[in-house]
Amino acid sequence: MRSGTFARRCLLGVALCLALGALAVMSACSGAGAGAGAEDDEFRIGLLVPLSGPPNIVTAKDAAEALVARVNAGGGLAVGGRRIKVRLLVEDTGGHVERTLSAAVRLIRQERVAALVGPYYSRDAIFVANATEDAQVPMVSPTASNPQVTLGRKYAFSVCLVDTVQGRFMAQYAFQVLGLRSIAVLYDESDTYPQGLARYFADAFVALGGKVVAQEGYPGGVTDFSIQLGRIRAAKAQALYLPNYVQDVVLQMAQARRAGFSGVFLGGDSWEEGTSVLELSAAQGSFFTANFAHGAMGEAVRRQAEHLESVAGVPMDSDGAMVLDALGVVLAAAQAVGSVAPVSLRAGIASLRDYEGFSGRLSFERGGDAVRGAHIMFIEGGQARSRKVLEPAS
Amino acid sequence: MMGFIQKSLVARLVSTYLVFSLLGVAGMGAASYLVGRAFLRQAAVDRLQSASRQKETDLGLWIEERLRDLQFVGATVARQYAGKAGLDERETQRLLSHLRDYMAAQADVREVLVLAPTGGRVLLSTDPAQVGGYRASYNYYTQGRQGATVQSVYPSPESLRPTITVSMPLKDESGELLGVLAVHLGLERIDQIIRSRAGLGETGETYLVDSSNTLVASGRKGLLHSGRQAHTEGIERALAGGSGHGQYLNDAGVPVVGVYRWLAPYQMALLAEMSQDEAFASAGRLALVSVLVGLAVAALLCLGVYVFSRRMARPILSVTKAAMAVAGGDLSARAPVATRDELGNLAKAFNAMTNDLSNLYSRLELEGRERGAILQSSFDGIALAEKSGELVFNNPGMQRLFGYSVSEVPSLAALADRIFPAPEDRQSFVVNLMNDMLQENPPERVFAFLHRDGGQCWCRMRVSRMPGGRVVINAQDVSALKASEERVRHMALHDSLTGLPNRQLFADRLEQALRRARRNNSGVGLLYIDLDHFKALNDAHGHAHGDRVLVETALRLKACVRESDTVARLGGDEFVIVLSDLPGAADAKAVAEKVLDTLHDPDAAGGNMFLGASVGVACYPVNGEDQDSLLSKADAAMYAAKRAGGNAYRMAGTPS
Repeated sequence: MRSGTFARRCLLGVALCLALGALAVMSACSGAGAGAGAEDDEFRIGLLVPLSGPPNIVTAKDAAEALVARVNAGGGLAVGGRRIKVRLLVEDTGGHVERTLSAAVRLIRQERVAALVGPYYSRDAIFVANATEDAQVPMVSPTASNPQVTLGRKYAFSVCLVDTVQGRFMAQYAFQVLGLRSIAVLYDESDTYPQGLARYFADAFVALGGKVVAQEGYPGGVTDFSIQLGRIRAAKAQALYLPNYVQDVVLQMAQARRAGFSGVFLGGDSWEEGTSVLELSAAQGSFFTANFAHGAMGEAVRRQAEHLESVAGVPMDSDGAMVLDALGVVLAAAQAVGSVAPVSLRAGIASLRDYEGFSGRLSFERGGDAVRGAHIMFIEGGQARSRKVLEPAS
Repeated sequence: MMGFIQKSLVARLVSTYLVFSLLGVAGMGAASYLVGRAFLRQAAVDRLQSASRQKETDLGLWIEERLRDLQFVGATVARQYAGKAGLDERETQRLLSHLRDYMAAQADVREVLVLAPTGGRVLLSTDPAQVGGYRASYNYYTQGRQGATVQSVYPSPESLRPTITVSMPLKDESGELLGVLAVHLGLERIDQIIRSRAGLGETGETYLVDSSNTLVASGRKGLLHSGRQAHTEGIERALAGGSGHGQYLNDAGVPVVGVYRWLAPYQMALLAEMSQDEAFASAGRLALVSVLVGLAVAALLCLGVYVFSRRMARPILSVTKAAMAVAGGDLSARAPVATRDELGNLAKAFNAMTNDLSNLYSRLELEGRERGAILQSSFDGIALAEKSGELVFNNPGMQRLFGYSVSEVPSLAALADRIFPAPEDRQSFVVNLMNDMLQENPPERVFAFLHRDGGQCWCRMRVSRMPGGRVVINAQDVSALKASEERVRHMALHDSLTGLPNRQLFADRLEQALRRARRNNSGVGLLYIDLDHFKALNDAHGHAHGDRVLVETALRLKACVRESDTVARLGGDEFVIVLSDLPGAADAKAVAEKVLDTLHDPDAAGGNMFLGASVGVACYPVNGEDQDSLLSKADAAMYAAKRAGGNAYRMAGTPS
């Protein structure tokens, strides 16, 4: 009698278990898996850099990744009392506006980065700044020097010397130190940077009492400058200012010498990119404005540079120094405000003073353009050396 | 409810069946839901896939159409520029109005530009503000110089809104590059393609997002300009370059079935989604229908099981009913023998059993009544006690004997408290009886006790063990027997005429007095008294008068002594007095004088009653140490007094 009752209880138990199992299966099938990304413990920084150019600045990417690896190897960035891993999301900008914009918007909207480092060129940076301004994400460009990039914006920053100052600096050096009085300018009129720098230089030179004897624009993509160079030679200019990208400058110097121009070549910080200008025989004896001078690094910064050089396996150059300073500014701002929230980061960058970068000391007391020093570099023997240092404008 | 199910056979059968059939129905419902769901999921995915393929094709057709238009416009523009360094104002205006006509015809064209062959300067634009700008670093320009090209979706530099640009080189007949024609396309037309819901049901929708997860086109209005990016599983997978399908939550948190495709040529993801509620609604309905049908079938079968089990259970129920009646005390109940099967046999057997039970019960009842009457009528007290001394029962005889019922005296100790005034009696009573309970053949106990009404009674009690550990206590009232025993004993020791102790008792008392005197070092006085002239009185006035004299003498002698002293009649007219605890012979003398005085009363009864007496006094230890010597000394002293004329006393040992 007892065992009968027990067997029946067991049977009922098994049946109930089966029913509950069926219900569980049904409810499990009706629910959908929800995926959620946990990105709170990361400091996500986007890097916009041309890699599949021309141009391509792989060294900048390598330097930035080496720095991030070093920060993370030390347990992450100390922010607000805790250590946060830094994640660098590199996007190739390819070298044209559409791709740069797509990449920037993708980093902001899809990858939800807290800050952008880049883009490199003013023409791109002006449009990317629209997007970062809209999304309230700070953008720190290593090299976009045109004042339009940061003008009237809260979230756009640039660590390089702004073109107005750069143009004036070179104009003063040319007029006062080199004693030049008549200068010609050849510039790419279809791109923001050359166009702007040419104008700022010429205006400053004229204001000093010099004479711009020829101001020749050319449309981008042109490879033959003989017409413009002919006019410049005819104008008897003592010097030729070439505020253009290096692929143009290389052609222009050679063509100018062939055309019989014997004066001095002057240039802007675009010459810093790579070594193609320095190695050119026509370029020896030329001057250009630069943000970075290897020999001018302070002791503490030099040690860091040496460490990164040993990791990356290449010497610290301007490409590396500028991207590291842009990235460094973002990291320093995060540490200063103790937050990686984009809006706080912006406040942190805007209040950064006397940041010791690889390219010198810089501050942001006048909007998004770094208040910083610069060098007049002299090309000699395939090397550039600082001839004059511009102290940060007080 | 549970109780009812456990008590009712039918309810148990039906409920067991119900549980199993409900489980079956639930299983069937689950199975049909799952199978239906899997089927519907595939069907939904197929629908979404064909819809998304259709959209992709439509998109391709749209782009192709735009490219065809571009070729057409391009030919026109090229003709204008051919062979000239530039256009004059009139030509420019004519071309512009031509382009504006084209724009008016094609709502999705936002801007038409003619760009310089080098440097990308904007030579002509339907938006005059753009003229003079440069497009050198734009892909649509650099690619457009090479051939007809589609710049996949990118954020417009000005508005950041997704834009597509088609461009082509403008060449003259000799193949010289005259410029680049670019057309910016708004995505309103894509919206129309996307918005069409053909074959996607109520909740189905398709939408496009670009690589930055910006919504390019959506079936839902108002979503386009919300500026919010949806991070759903489908979008993430598509933007990672994948194509496929899955179930996930859409941006509104609604579970959907989704198909996603990465359209690499356009750098966009196309998603088609349908809410799972709608997609699987039929599965739910199928499950509901199968559960309902199952429930209906189960209910019908339940009814069948109920009817069948009722029929099965009816004979069992009637036997059960009869059995319950018997259990309730009605031994006359009988189960109807309805069938000839095992259940009929069960009923018969039950009835036979009930018959036997009924007979046995009557016999037992009769016996019980008789035994009870015996107990009730027994004059002797009968009680039942536990070994612990607790009283379980007593009959009226027992109650009568002691005057208490079991409820008043629940134990032997309680009984002892009531019937014995002395604590030691109580204790010995309980101890003795408890001892007796342990013995095989305990003694009979006789004791005196105090009845409830205050009278002193005697009881004879004996315990005997019963099987099972209890003991039966039998008790009888022996007060009458004790009284008659006392009477006999008194008669043996007292003189029947005067009531005074006789010679035997006197000897006893004297012996006691001597023992006490020896122990206490005191004295005993013995007075031997013989009436003077008694024979003469007897002869003169008869024996009746003589007896009266003797009775009166006895009374007067008793009045002469203390309570503790003994007056006895030895026979005839001879009396003795034992004075115990005598301090000295002088006290004996005083008593002797008192006796003489009281027995010489010539005035009483006309001088025929107390005519004097002769008294002899002997004292212990002066006159003797034992009874015999004292008695003979006293007797001798009495004779001496008698010889001296009577009505006098003589002390033993004194010269006559």
